[in-house]
Amino acid sequence: MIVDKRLPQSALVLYAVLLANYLCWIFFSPGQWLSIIFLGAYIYVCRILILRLKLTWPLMLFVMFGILVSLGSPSGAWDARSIWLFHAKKIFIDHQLYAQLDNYGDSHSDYPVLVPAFSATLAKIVGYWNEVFPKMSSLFFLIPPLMLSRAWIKSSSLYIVLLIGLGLIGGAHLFDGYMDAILSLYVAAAVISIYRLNYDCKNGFSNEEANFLTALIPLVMLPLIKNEGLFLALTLLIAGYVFLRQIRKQIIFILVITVLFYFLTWKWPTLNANLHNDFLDGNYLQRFALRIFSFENWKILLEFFAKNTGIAFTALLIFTALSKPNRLLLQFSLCFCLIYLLFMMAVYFVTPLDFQFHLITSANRTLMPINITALLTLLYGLSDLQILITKPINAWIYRRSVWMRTTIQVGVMLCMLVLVGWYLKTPIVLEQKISFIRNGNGVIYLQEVGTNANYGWSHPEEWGVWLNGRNGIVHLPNPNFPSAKSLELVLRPFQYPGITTQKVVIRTAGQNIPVVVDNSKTMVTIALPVSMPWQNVITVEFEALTPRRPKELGLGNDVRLLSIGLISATFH
Amino acid sequence: MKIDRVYTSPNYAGRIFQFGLLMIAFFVFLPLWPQPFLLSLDQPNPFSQGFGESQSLAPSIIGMKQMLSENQFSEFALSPKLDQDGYTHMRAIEFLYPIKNQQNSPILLAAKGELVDVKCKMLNVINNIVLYDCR
Repeated sequence: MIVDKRLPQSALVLYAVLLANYLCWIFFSPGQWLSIIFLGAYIYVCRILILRLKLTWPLMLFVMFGILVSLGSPSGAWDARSIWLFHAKKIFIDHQLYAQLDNYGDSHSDYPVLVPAFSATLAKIVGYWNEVFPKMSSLFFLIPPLMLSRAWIKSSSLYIVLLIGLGLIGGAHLFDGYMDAILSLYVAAAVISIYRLNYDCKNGFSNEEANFLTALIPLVMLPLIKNEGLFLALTLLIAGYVFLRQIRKQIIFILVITVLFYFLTWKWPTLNANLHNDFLDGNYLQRFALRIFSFENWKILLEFFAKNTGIAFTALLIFTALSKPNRLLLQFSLCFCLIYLLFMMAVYFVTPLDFQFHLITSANRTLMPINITALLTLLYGLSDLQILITKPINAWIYRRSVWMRTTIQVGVMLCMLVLVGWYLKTPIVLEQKISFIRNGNGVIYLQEVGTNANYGWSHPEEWGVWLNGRNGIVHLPNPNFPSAKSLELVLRPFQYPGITTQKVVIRTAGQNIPVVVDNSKTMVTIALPVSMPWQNVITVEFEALTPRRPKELGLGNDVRLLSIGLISATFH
Repeated sequence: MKIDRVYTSPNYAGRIFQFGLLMIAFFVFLPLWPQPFLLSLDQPNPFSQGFGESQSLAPSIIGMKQMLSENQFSEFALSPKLDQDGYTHMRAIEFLYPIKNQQNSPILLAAKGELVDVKCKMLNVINNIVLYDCR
């Protein structure tokens, strides 16, 4: 049963608009007016969010937050800029979907461009590119599966739980231009759509065609969002073929359409341009053979996987065992997650990058589909459970007098406020010294320690840590309850004869603060204002303008580029 | 006969539950609030040209674009020192596009103080990056 029939219908139309935009780009570059029509059609269909505000208010809040974040922040994330937004920029400037097939810039030119095509359309409307608005296309792609989920999840409270889960799992990747959150949400929505198609066929319900399209379209779009989308689609359809026997013919049909569409619109042009995935170079089998027999590699891999998906799998296993009515859905979902997990293990064993480095930098993103699928599956399957809990509680509260009911509500809400605040308190409090000495409590907040000769920080020493090169960044957790007003930094200048000052630029909260450090002192204290006290993390970037190498000055054999060192930081 | 009013009672538990969830959602999404937040009274238009550049790019990269655009060059090469720096290499490639990075280009971008070929003529310096014409 769905909450409102118009929501899935609107979601289907939104999917169709996004796909139509991609198809348009295949054949010709849309002009400004056609781009306005695409965007206008999308926004017109989204009016359902306002017409059904009583139902869709959590999604509206999420969309408004997403608009503010997308338009209020620059594109900074590495892959988002270097791959997805760069591809979108090339499509926009070169007026063709296949602009990146010249392989300029070594930016993974074989990656598909469904989302970049929409970013290019947004740029066509404005007439030029900038560093902010094109990444708003991520939000446009998130809305249709979220709309579908709202139609499936009856309770507003459980829908808010879904959004909270998205925020915890997807985090900044929801809006920063990465594709992982979009991919994960599409595959999660596809799992439920395919299950519902099977359910309707099994019980003879009449909205089979609508469910078929709701399953087909996101699956067709999956491989065009990111390369692993193809494997997600295949994995899903394999699991569906095993468990959902009523719709085996439809599954084969969807599989053929998905693979054909991906191959014709993207894979064939990339093969013609001689572009191949960097994983499948000549040595991938050798790497696989070397790594798979290492116990150490298995230990590291299983630790990462357990850390990133342990909760999802545990929850799915428990509820599969306990829940009879939704057992088929949970089994189907669990099977899909397991097969995908095995596929990801194989990917990490053949990676051309360093094994551990690749795990550290990507595991939380590549395993996101498992977490979001588990979350949506559990919330969809267990929505009746909430009524079982709230009904007796409501009955008990209603038997109390009016003032007692108010007292209970207000009291419980205040307790929740305090509990949430206590639970989310930061690891650093006001007046606590954050030390950057060896094994100090501040070392974990330094970005790039001892890994780059020209950037970042040196290995911490007994007194603190040197800025290594010209730039270094530190991310400090901002104390909450109460919040900080200023940040005091204690610095040590690199002292050598003939120089009286060190020039440094400190960047934080969008401000560039030039600082002249007195070289005659061994310790210098600088106070920075904390202009955004609600921000959980304060990022401070140091740029040294006058670094020198001790070896060049005849002060030993140290070849590092030194200027200032960080001793400690304290929030006041 | 006692009328069972339970089935028409307001959803107190649901209300409390939703309030708690909204509190949690607030704290979960708060870290996503961008730093710096660019929308303000003095810079309200996220659709304007150049918006967000200084917050997302090093001044050296912005200086490169300015110098190349002023001289209307369509290609450039990076000096070995700049090319080895992964950040500068990638940002120069994507931010300066459609001005393309060609390693054999006579238009050279080098760090201030870096040694270059004697035939290279210095054209401009911005933010510690020097533009040379080596034709």
